[in-house]
Amino acid sequence: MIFTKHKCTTKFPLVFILFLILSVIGCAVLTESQVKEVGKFAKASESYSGLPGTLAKSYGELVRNSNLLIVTRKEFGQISKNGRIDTSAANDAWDSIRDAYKDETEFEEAGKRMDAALLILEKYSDLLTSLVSGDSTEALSGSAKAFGKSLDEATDTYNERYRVDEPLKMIGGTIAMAVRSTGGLYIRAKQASILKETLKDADPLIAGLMDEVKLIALKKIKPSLQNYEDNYLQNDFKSLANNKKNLDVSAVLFVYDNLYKTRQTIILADKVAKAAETYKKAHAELVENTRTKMTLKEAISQVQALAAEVGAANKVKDEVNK
Amino acid sequence: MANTEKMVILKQIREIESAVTKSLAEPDLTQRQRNALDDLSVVLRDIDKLILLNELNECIDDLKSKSKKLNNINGRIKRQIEKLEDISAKVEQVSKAIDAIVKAFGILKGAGVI
Repeated sequence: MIFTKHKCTTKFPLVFILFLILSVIGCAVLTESQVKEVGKFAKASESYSGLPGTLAKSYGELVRNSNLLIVTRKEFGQISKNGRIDTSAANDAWDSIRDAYKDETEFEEAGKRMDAALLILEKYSDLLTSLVSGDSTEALSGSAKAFGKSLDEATDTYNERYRVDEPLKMIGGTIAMAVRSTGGLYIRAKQASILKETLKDADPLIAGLMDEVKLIALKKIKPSLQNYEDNYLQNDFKSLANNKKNLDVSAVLFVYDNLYKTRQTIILADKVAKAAETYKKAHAELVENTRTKMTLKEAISQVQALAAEVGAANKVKDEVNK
Repeated sequence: MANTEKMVILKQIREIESAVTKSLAEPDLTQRQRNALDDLSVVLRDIDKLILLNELNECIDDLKSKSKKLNNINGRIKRQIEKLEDISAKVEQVSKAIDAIVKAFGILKGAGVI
């Protein structure tokens, strides 16, 4: 007979030992608030990687448009004194159109390479999400409950037949809880340890990537956009106006659209750089706040700011891509 | 050419581009002078673009080398997550096996075999 009185009395030390084991493992897991913050960081950062590449792509489109605008200021088919047509303007115009294509594709390519290099951030967010997800432990919890239920049923059968006057305690639930807690806590503790190690190791790399993104946005692209507006678009428009005397509204609109796109891309450059700085700080705060098990009394401010900044930058990106 | 040298040249090119813009705004230029300035502006843009693209590509190479290191960390986490999933699956198997034993115990008890 399995459930003898003697065996039942050994349940107390067994549960006590289990409790001790669970307490020790439990100290290594993250608190709910810590898990929540990691999840929030992963979600906030997942749509960041496509932003910096948009800057290069947009600049390429603006340079393309400038090349095309140059074509419109030329006078074609001028006839010389000996009656011959001057073909040089048309030849130059054709070169400008080809340059427009070359410039656009080269900057587009740079943007794509940037996106490809930063795609790693998306994968990193996905992995952080996997590390804080409760999928494995929830699956364990389900099977543990089923196990507990069947143990209770078996005990019921036994009690009905043999121990009607002295029924055994329903121990299935206790064992189910122990199985669930031990399996779940072990995995959660392991997840927490991998997460802490990962965040710590990745932190200097994240900081380096974000510094590079800031350099691209603020020192390379933004000054180029300002130069574009001041020295390319302005000159192209004025030369066109001076040469043509009258301007079609479509030409004016073309110039206006380019001015709008330039200004929006400048705003985007600022937002990309600001979000890069926040990304770096949010990640560093995450490392700090997951170092030991603690209940975070309030949300990590930089993580909240990151979500808002990446969202705002993506809205500007949509404007730029219009 | 070092990155700082290229930055200095790009700055100088942009100063000349600004000077061309200023000159083009002068009201007493002939058409020939305007055309010459417009042509100069196009040449300067080509140089500007070449330097900028070169600088951007160098930055992207740096980004790539840093992202490669992060990719190594990602690979390591992925392998560890797979191991955890394995452990989870094994715990599941063990709990199902125990479940089966407990059910069998109940049935056998119910049938009065044990």
